Amino acid sequence: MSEHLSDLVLDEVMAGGPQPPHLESCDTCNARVTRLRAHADGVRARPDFSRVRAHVLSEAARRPSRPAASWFSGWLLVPALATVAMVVLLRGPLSGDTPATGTLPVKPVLRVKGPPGVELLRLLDGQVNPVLREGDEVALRLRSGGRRYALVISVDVEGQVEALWPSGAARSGELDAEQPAPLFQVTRGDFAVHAIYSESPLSLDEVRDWVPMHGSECSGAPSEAACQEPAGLPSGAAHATVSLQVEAPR
Amino acid sequence: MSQGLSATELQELYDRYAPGMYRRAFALLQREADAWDAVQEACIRLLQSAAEFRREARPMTFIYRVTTNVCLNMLRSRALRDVAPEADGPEGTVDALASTECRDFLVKLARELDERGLTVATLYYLDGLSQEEIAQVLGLSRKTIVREVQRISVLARALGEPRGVRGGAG
Ligand SMILES: [Zn+2]
Repeated sequence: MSEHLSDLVLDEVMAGGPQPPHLESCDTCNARVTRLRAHADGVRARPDFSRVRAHVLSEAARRPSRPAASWFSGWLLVPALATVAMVVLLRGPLSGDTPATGTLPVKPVLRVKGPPGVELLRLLDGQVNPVLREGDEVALRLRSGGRRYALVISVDVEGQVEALWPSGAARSGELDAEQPAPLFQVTRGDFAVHAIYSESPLSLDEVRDWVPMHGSECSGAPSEAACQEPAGLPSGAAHATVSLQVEAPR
Repeated sequence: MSQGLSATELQELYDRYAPGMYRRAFALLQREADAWDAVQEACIRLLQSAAEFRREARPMTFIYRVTTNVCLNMLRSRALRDVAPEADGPEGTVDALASTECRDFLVKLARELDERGLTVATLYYLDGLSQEEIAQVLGLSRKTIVREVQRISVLARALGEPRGVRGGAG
């Protein structure tokens, strides 16, 4: 080994480091770089590569707030995404295939203080509530204002209601409990995501009819009374919503 | 705490370093699922030590150190169960035979060596690093590494050092 470059050096070359002069003249080391590169490309193409990537990112997003990264805020992140499994959020006009469902054994944890809110975070670039593209992987971020339960649903343009968190559930989930987190991959269409926070669990039926009538009332001003104590929901409940657009894939 | 990693940075670091982490983890653990667990754990440690990572003059040494520590911990914790290696398809490992042989040899060494000794042995035999490089990866003096390698070599000969192992440069 002594006359050739070590894997440490070759790994540095592959990570974009400077090219050692030895590499220009040594066929053995060049061949090894080629082999290591091909191996790395193979690894990047594996589903596990994306799965672990997503897990690490969601882990990062759950960490306490840091000025260097504003999205590491005091929000609860319900980790999403996945190559291996997904919940189809909305059925786009072109989507004919059967949606698969799946969950990650990640606990969403924490009842975060502050005004209630709901956001979608695109994992690709960390953008909050962007105009999405079909196939984008997104994480759901919730802020319950200290309330114990949350029920998050999506409503599409046709008024179809689907429980996003807890995934496919008929009632609110406890934010402190270990809940498998849903995985989302969006399909085309416009939709609204509603989060209803409460001190005791609500059933989906209780909010199914309420939500379409109270859609956008507090989207722009999450601390307003309409959101904190919305009429028609049990006392102590709070509501937050965000409207999203999903365009054709990139 | 302005030294945390932003989401974009983290993604970039993952894309850059995770394939190499996986390659090395698989060489040591010989099981795909374990190797991915190791990558995940190593990335989380990277996240926790973002400030330290940023100060690193040679970031790859940090990546090697963290990945090696994570893998050796895993290897140790399951050593008693003695899990059989699994085949990992064509692109699983770069040095298939050498690495299986080397890993078995390291498992044997693990019974005799302390944590530091085993880490040095791994970087020396499995990664083929020079003593200078090992010193850099571990942040120890060259002298310490020379001593460690001498100690390990004696032990290795007694245990029957396999011919397939690559061995570091002097
Ligand atoms: Zn060479």
